[in-house]
Formats: sequence, structure tokens, C-alpha cells
Amino acid sequence: MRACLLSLLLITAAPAFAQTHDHVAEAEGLRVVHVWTPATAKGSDALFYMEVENTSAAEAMLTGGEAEGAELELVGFSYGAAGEAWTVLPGLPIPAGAEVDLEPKVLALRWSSVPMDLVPGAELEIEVEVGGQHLHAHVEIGAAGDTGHSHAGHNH
Amino acid sequence: MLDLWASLPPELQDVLFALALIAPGLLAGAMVLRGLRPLPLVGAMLRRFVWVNALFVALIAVSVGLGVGLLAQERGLRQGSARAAEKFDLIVAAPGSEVTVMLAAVYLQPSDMALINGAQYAEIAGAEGVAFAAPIAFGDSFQGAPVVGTTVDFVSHLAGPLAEGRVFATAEEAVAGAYAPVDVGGSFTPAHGHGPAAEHDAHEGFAYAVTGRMAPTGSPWDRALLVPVEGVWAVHGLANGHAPGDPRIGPPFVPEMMPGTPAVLVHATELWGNYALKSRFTRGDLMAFFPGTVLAQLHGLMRDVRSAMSLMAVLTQVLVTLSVLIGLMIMVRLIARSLALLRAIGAPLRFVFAVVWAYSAALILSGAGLGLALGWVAARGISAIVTARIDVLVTANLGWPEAHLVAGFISLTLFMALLPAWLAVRRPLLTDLRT
Repeated sequence: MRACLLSLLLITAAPAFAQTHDHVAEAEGLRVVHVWTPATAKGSDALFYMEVENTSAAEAMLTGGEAEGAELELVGFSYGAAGEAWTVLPGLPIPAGAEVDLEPKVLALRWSSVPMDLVPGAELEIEVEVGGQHLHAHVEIGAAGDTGHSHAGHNH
Repeated sequence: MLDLWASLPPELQDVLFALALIAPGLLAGAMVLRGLRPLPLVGAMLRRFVWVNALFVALIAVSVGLGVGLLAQERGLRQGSARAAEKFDLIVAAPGSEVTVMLAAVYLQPSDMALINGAQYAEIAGAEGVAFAAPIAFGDSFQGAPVVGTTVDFVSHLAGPLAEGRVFATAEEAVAGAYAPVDVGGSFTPAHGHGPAAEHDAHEGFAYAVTGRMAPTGSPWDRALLVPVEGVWAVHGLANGHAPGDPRIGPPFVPEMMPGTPAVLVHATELWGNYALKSRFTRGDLMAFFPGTVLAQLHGLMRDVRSAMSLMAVLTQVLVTLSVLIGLMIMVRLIARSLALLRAIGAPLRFVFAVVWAYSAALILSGAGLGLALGWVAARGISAIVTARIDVLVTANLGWPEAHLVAGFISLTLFMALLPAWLAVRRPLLTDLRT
């Protein structure tokens, strides 16, 4: 009976443990750190950047996410004579023990046509789908010209 | 409203923006000329002062042409450099400066770089999702053209089917870039190094036979001579990447027998694979990057310079037009008696105003039109010079940004032309009649 109660307590408490720091969301060996986006005007596409770590023993697939009920697409950057372009990717495998950085002009999660202005300092939570997990992450909204998270380089 | 604007196709947005820019000037013109027919008089004024008018038009044309030519040229250079990097999906090199590696591997600007060793290359080439991993080994040259060691896969990836001949099959054969200084069937001995300090006799006794020529790529590779990487290693007295006595060229290489390569072009089987491979090979002993990303960042930094150039172009044009309008004000004094006679025989003030404004507008529109043509010629000429200097195909054509610049210029200066017209009708009638 005590074991059952303990198990129940652990299961119900899991979401609380899944987000131990404002800049970190983690569960089952998967960590999403330093999620940020530059300020974006309503109707434009917002691009979310982050570090995704897989400390589990199995490969995990990063597929996208969700924000305010809308889908976040995993997109990859390309640049040529026609200019800049972001292409939707079906997913990105993250090997066991590896880390993937979603960074400007490389990889991002895209929220198309945001329904409101994303202004610096505003609160926003998104869900990152990786390895079958839905990690709830807090988003830091930076200035429009920002190129990195305010805590980039910190090891949380 | 913003949503509606965002939903429009980019071409339609450009057209509407150009119309919005030019509309105030045209509207002012329509209001000034409404119900009047001043054009016969304006024609007479243009003919009477033909040389002065030609000078005014030339001044406006040169200022517009310079602005238009510079903007088109900057865009052409940006697009040309981006086009040249399009085939370079992912570059892996020893840790260092991404910009330096990009300049060396993509634009063939010689640079001292650490090498990737055989074991590292084998790991890259054998990684899941890698279609091919081509060494890019530079350092030698021939008559100023870079001699680059690589593989058959790279040649096909870079330029598609050869324009002439066949690809190299032995370590002593080569494929020439579209404008390389050796013809198919010819041969060359590479010099060690680049430029005036290159050692021309360092590889004496070794020669590559050119078996094929690539189609133009619009990149510095058009002047390069591509050889099997085994040839580059052999000519420097190094192991050739294969077991002794093995005459094969191309991968797989024996890691212990591979001397190393400054950079590796990695092409993935799937698009997403490039991003996975970049993550995998970004680590302490290797550096993986997309040349497109580095180039986009560099071009992004230049955005402010571009904005400053646009502003300076507009300011120059406005200043020139201002000086032309000041010249016109002086001319109005010269023709004051004629204008006074017009008023004396019953022409309304609005008609005199319309004559002077239409005269200024004719000079502005002629200058702007001629300036567009001049800008196009200047852009083409500068493109040819830049292409010859940096070996990146730069094609500068006039586009919407130039149309917007000229539309804005015309609109603003048509408004400014109201000033000499207003001054003309404010002159004292009797004084002007007596002079």
C-alpha cells in the first residue's frame, strides 16, 4: 500500500519535477534549455531557438511543438541567390548522449502568423515535442535583433 | 490591414509600394495641370534653352544613375556570392574561424589551415546519412588558377555533367573549371603555393593531363583545376590515402595512409541529415558549419551599410535636384518678362504656375528616366569588372528597390518643383513688364 502511494505521489509530482528551473524543461533524460525568440509582430512568423539535450540511452526524435494551441514546425535554414528560406523538416534525430542547438539561421521551431505581438519581457510557454515527450518550456522573448538567449553559455 | 498586406504576393506588394511612392507627386501634378494645357509653352521653353535644359537633365540623370547603379550592384554582388555557395551544403574542418574556412573552401581564397586527419575523415564519411564526403585540398596553383584536390563526387555535385571530355580517372588527370587556363587535352605542372611567391619548380617532373571541362558555375571554381586528392598528396611526397601499390582514386581511404585535408564538403542523403550532421560534428576536435549561414550573417551585418547607401543615394539626388531647382529659379528671373506678358494678356496665375511647374517636371522626369538607363549601364559595367576581379559571377539587373528609389525621388522632387512655380507667380507684374 505504501509503495502504491509513493508511486502515485511520484507520478502526480512528475510535471513539477519536469521544470525545475525557468530556463530548463526536462523529463526522462531529455532537456530543453534556454528557449528564446526575438520580439515578433502579430501576423509574422516567430522562430524559437533552444538547446535540446538527450542524456537518455536511446535516440530521441525532435519533431516540433505547440504554442497557444498552434503547431510549431521544425524548420531548417537555407541561403542562396533567391535569399533566405526556412524549410519544414520531418524531424531531427538526436542520438543518445548528444545535444542539438536550434540557433538563428540554422534550425528553429516556427510558429506561423503569431496571433499577438511577442514583446520583450512578456510571458510565453511552449511545448517541445521530443522523443515522444511534451516538454513545457518557458520562452524568453528578446529584442527584435537579438542573436542569443540572455543566459547562453550558462550550464543550468 | 497589416494581415491583408501580408497576404498579398510579394510582386503585388512591390507594385503597390511603387505606386504609393509616386502617387503624391502625380497627384500634385494632376491638381496643378487640371483643366490647363501648358505643354505647348513648356515645349517652347525646352527648345529655347536647350543646352541649359540638357545640362540640368544630365545632372539629374547622373545622380539618379549613380544611386540606381550602386544599389543594383550591391544586390548583384550579394546574390552572386550566395549563388556561389549554394552547392556547399555543410563544411567540416578543424576548429577555427568559419569565415576563413568558408573563404578558403568556397571562394578559393588561400589560407593556412589545420588538417582533418584520416580517422576523422573516415568517421565523417561513414556517418549515417552521409551521401558523400569530399575532401577539398588546396594549396597549389597554375598560372594563378587554384589547383584543388577532391573526388569525382564533388565534381559532379558542383557542376553537374561535364561540358566537355570526361572526369579524371587516375591521380595524374585533372578536370578544368569552365574558364581555367588549360584546355582539354593539355597538361600542366602545378606550382607550390599561390601568387608571386609560388614555387614554380617545386613539383617539377609531375604533370596532370586535363581530361574534361566543367560547365560554368558562376563561382571561383570556374577558374580552378580540379584533380584527384591522391594527386595532391602524391605530388607533395605524402602517402596517397590507399594501401601501397593500390592505384585506385577516391574514397574509401585507409585512415592511416591519409595525410589529411583542410576541409570536407559533406552532402547528406536527406535534407534534415545536414542539420543532424552539423550537430554531430560540432565538437572539440571538429567544426561543422553551413556556408549559407555564415554568408547570411555577413550579409545581415551589411544591411546597415545598405540602408546608409540608399539614404545617401536619395540625399545626393535630392541635393542635385535642389541645385537644379535653384538654377530654375534664376531662369524664372530671366524669363520673368515673358511670364509677365502672359499674365498681361489675360493668362490666369494658375496657368503661369502650371507652365513653370510643368517645365521643372519635364526636366525631372527626363533626368530620372535617363538616370535609370544610365544606372542599368553602370551596373552592367561594374558587374563585369567585379566578376573579372573576384571570379564570382555578378549579374546586376534593375529591380523593384531601384524602381522604388526612383519613384520616391520623382514624387519628392515634383513637390519641390512647386517652389519655383510659386515664386514665379509672386513676382511683381508691373516691374517685370518694365524690365
